[in-house]
Amino acid sequence: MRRSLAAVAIALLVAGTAAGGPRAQLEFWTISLEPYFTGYVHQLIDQYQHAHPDVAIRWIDVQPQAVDQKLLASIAGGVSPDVVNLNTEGTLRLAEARALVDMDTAVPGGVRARYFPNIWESLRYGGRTYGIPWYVVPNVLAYNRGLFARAGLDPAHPPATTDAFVHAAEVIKQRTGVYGFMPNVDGVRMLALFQEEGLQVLAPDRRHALFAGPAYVALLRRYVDLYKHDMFPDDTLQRGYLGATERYAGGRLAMLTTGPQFLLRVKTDSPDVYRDTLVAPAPRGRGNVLDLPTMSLVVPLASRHRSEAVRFALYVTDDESQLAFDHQVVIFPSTRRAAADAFFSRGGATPEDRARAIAARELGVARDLTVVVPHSDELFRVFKEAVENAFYGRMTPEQALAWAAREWDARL
Amino acid sequence: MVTVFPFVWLVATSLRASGTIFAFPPVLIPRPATAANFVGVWTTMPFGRFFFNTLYITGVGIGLTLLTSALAGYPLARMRFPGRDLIFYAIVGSLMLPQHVGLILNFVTLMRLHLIDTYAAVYLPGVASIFGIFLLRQAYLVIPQEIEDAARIDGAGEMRLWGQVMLPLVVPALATLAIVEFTGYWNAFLWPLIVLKSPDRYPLAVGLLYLSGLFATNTRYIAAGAVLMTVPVIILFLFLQRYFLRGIMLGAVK
Amino acid sequence: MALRRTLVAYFFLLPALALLGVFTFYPVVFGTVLSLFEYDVISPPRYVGLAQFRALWTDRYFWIALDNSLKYLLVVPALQFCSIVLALWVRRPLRGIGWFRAAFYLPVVTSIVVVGLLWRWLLDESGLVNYVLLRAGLIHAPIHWLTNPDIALYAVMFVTLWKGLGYYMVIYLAGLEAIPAGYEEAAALDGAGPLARLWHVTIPLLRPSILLAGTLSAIAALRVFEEVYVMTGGGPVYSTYTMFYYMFDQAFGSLHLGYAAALGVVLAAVTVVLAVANFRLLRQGGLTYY
Repeated sequence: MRRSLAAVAIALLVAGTAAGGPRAQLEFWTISLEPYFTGYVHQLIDQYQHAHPDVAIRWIDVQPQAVDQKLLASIAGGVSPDVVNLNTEGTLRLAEARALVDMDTAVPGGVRARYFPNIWESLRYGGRTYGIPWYVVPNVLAYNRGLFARAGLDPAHPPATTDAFVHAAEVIKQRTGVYGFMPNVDGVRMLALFQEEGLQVLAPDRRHALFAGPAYVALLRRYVDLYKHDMFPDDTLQRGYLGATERYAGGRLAMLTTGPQFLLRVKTDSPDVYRDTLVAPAPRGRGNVLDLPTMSLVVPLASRHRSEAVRFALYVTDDESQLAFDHQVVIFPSTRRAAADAFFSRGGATPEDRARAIAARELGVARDLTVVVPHSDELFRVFKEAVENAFYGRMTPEQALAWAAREWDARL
Repeated sequence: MVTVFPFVWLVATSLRASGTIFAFPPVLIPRPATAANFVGVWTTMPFGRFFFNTLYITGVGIGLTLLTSALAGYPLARMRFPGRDLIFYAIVGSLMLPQHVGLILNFVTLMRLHLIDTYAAVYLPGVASIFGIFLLRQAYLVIPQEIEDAARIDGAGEMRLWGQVMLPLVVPALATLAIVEFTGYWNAFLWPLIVLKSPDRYPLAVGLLYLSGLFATNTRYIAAGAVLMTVPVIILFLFLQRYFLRGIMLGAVK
Repeated sequence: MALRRTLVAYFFLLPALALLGVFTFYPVVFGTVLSLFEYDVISPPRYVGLAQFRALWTDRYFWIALDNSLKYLLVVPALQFCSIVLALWVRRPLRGIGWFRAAFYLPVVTSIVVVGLLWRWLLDESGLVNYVLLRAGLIHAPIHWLTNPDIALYAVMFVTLWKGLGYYMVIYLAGLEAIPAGYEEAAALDGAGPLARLWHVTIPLLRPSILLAGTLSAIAALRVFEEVYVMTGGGPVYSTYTMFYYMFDQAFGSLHLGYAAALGVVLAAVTVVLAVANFRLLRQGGLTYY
């Protein structure tokens, strides 16, 4: 009895010294990489730990809807992570809350030069950049060949413009009873739709919202009318792109404008729908520009190992790591050397290979359309509410946009 | 019918081999029935981990609740000392206090104690149960004075008197308390949602919602997970119905 | 000796008192204090007096949330009515009635997450509820239970009712058992019909139970959160955004802990007013022995 107690005590002591070594514990948060990329992330971390025995990395995967809030709560709770994946909206919001490390200072100029300058700058708030760009994903159009044929549309000629896109969706719904599309109108994504139609959101002095104008109202009204005529599902405003992917994978949606990385989800969940899937460039609006959602890595000021965290973030986003990631799924690197790799221009027969080649061509007209404003929390909430009010008939599109513009102007 | 039917549908969904949950007509007897979803939810999702976390939090939580209640109820029932009535009324009276701000202040307190994202943060605020103290006090009160006197004549000290004589006599009350607290700890959702951040510490309630967001397309797995989470409570309830109902009625009297 | 005894007593009380002090008494006192401070955890608290309460007055989301929370109170009378009817119904000494009672109690012991997910699927546009109603010819097009801003709040309220029914049923069963059989028999001898007996004898005697169950369910209704969080996330267009949800958002979504505390104080005040009103209301009706 006594001997076994002693053994336990010794074991505890040994464990204590092992854990008490000089290792820096870094906590690394990603968005939705589980379960498909578990292997990639583990490999990434193992390699780094091997090269840096003094650093231990703990990986946590977070859901996209929850990441901003969880990050704030963790910072508040004194258990801040060290490296966090955010989209541009989240990065700017946290930057405004003065919670992030300034990367213009933390990253040496030589290293900074390896990223595309326009992507680096899209993470700028108040003149400083607060995130290290990781990967970018221009939307493509995925569509269900079978449903196209049933609606009497030619699968060889998918819609190329937003007008044709909307028209095709109407035809599909009327002829097959299956929804044609779920437009990206949830949250503040209407702001990107405006810009894709060539409508600027802010005046050049950035102190006035322009979206109360007639062209904007007409665009919103068009979608509101489509909604009233049941041309897209009623959960579009709540579920966003996740709901759209789910519906498409279930064969209950004909067209999906999405980041090509979601095709992987379709492939694993419903192989039969995936086999019937064709890919085309995302329909263009009058602005001839496409949104380029950007994923970045940020380091909270509350991190206890800031310099180690920045170093790890630079490793995750270096040419080699990014290229390895890009081979796993259709996404694109934020560094110039990696992007120049021949891999991206090579075609192929699967929907994913086609999506890669198409999206690579789209990179030329794509840029991050996230609107950078102060008080983004409040402004976005107002805009979202205004758009929803218009869809649910509580305000006319004119009233809704005029109200949102007034609220914006008061705070800009 | 209205209450049981949704559960039947849930179980049926969890046993289905394929298809979305929105199949028409609704499938109530899945053919072929399969346990694949239950296996799947254990192997491809960290469900086992959530299950363990829930067991741990529930076990430790109930244990500590029983301990503090058994301790605190004793002097309130059987000792005379200055401040006793004041303490008793303060404890019972705090039931009347609105607890709405507790969420925020308890978060700040746990943050200061560096307990955020630990199991302790989940169960600690609930350990001192006013209902439990009240229940145990009632149980100690009805123990006849002769038993206490006899033990004292035998020379039992205060600790022995409590541990060897009194405690065995309040076991039925402790059992009632354990069962009432069980559902509370097992199903706890809001508080763990606030104080935990690592998925590997989530209990089932938080974990299930997390999985339903992560694996949105595979609702059959989520349904299987929901069934797995509910079954232990239902089994316990069916066997120990009387205790549950007694718990509510006692709770109602407080 | 007396001192020793006191020490022993406090030794027994210590764990409970310490925990209650930290997690129950302290928050009540300092929650009110916190509502006078601006606090975001990252920087130290700043005293702002009543400024946050003035800000509430002009905060449209506060009014939306308060409005929804007050509407949510409609669930209280509905719940009392249904559970009294249910209690009277399952009181009859039939064979297997025990299982019947157990069935109504199932939702009470089931996790709110399971209940919420379950009803989210059932109430989906293409879910089972719409299917049944369509087949029965009661509706002609699917109802958007959770995505129509005019309906969503009531759909969530229904789930609260569904989950709570068994709990209040048990309270009323206990209340009914406490009524001496003689009263109803005497009324029956006086020639009162079953309905008259129910209305003039049983219901008045149930008053203590109604007061208790009503107060409990009103407090629960004012702090409703989980159902909403799981089923609608406060939407569509804030139509299910309740006070508690707003407090949660402000505290843990935006780290405005002081502002959230101010919201909590208002919510607590509403709760107290309501509890007192409830008490008064039933007392006036001749509730003498409570």
